[in-house]
Amino acid sequence: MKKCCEEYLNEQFGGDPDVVSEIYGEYASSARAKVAEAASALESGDWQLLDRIAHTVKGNALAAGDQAMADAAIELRKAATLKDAAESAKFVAAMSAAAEGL
Amino acid sequence: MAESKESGEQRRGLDLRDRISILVVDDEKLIRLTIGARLKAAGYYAVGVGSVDEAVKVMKEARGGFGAIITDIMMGDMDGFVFRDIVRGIDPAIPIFFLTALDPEEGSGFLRRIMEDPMSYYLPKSVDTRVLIQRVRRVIASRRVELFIEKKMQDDAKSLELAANIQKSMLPVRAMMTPRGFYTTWWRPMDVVSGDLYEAVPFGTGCYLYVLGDIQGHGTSAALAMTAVQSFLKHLVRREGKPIMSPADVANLLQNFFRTNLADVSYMTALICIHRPLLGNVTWISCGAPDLVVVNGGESVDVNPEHRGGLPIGLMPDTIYTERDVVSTSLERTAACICFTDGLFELSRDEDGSDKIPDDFTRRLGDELTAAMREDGSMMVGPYRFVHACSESGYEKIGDDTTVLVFGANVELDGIYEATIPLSPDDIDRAAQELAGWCRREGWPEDDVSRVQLVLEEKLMNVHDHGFNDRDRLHAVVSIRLRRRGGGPELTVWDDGTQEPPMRVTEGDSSTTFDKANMEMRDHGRGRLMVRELCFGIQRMRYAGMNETVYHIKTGDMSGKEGMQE
Repeated sequence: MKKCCEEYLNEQFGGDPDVVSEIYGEYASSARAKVAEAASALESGDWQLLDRIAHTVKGNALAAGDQAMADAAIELRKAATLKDAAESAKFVAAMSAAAEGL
Repeated sequence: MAESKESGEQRRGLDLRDRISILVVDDEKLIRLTIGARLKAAGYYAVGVGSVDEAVKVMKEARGGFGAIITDIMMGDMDGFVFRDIVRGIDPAIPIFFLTALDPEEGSGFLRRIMEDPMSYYLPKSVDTRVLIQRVRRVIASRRVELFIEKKMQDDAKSLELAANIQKSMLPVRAMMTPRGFYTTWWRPMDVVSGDLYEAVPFGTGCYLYVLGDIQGHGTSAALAMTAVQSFLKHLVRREGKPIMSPADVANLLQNFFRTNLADVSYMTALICIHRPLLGNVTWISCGAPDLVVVNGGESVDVNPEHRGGLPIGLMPDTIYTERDVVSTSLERTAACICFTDGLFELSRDEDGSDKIPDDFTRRLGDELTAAMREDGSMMVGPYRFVHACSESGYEKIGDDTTVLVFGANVELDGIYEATIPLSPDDIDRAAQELAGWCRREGWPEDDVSRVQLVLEEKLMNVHDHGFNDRDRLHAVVSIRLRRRGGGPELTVWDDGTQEPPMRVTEGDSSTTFDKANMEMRDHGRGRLMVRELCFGIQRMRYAGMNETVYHIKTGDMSGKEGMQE
């Protein structure tokens, strides 16, 4: 379990291992799926979808205490809004890296 | 859709009444899980759903079972604010927390939209568990207090309504006309119930006892004392033994009642009058109440130059009223005696009661109206006319329980028939016969008599059927006046039943207009197309709670040669 998430979830859920494990598991699988979706949206140039995915990832990351993922998602939203392919690719890669550590 | 594990455990909350259920709406399972777990740890049941459709379905099933909703703003199938609009159609006041990853500084205006609804709140998705629970708990607690107060107020309102009905049922009928005398009243609580009371009782040979009382204060406690005193008065007039000869006797009996039953609880100002129309005299005592006003020929006269009277009843335990407190006033045949509680002085133009009605205005208005009503035979609605005239001058705010009682000798005016009729089919039938008898004695054509009878019966049965509920009908009376105007019969009917739709159809209006008006009346249970055949005009207005309907009845041969006017 990613260290930052573990600390955050334990704090938020009173150290209940079952709850923490369930939530982390859901977060990890969701984050991986969303990152893949983001890469696909970027490839097809669907900026609106990319923005929406980044927004979801940001919300989930904040809920799971994954600040690195949340930060990457925030930046991705800015880039997607500007339809900046290079910047978007950079932050999709950052999200991907954050997801690999899950 | 809600996951089976989530719905299995969390939906059980729908069936439980001892813990508060919170609906969590988010298309992200992770958010439903995290919020649900936090709420559960804090003692709530969380029902998680992944779509607006499912949320609406669950809400309808729960039928008000949720204490709050936590929802995302940006969801795949629907905007959170559209969802809120749907929710408000189901539950106008359920607290809704908008949980969002949106940044308030992004400028999307979502905070403003949240605040458009007073029961909507903002929560960031990164919210700390402690803050989340604290906010939810505070808002739900506040809402539960509001609901409790609302329910309590509804219960209180029902109790008050019941009390008001009991009060009304204990009062005598609004107005009464006998061969010798008449009285008429206007009784209005400031809120729902009143501390004012009146009693009107015939006794002896053509004598009438009138008591107008005002219990100290207003509201529930005054109303309770009012019902006790009203019961006592009803018992008093049926008592055996020494007949009542003086208002001081009645005052002493009431004083004894207060001392025995309401000591230290309440007291009452009262005006007690014994009217003897045959002798042209009224004896009266004011126990702390405004003096009797006597209007003779359009001008009020000073009837109490010695300032006689006593203390309010029950104010002091050892008060005894004597004949020295009683005033005896001679009355002209057409004199009208006006009693009122001091609530009349509290009529004002503004809510806080600082612009009160001036005394001289009240007096002048009373004099003018009384004289006019004596002349045109509308005395039986005098108090309503008076209150209406005050209202027309801007004095329409009632600052205290208010009662006006007018009484006098029954004076037959040339060419005018007046009556006050209880609302029962038998009484209506009897009234129609008496009215016809009067018309014949006046030499009216038989066709006119028939038309007048038909219009009267139709109108009164209509008021009987539609103007009152079963309870109020028992105490309802209708006043009428019949005269010839412009050659044709003019019948005026006054009733204080439910408001009738406004209507004015006059000579020259097209049949379509008349028929349309009648159709509209029919929608209100007041449709009588027959009246259209009998009248060439109907005017209707309402003032101070009184309906006034004037029928301009056709005259002449009913076989088809009738005219609008002779």
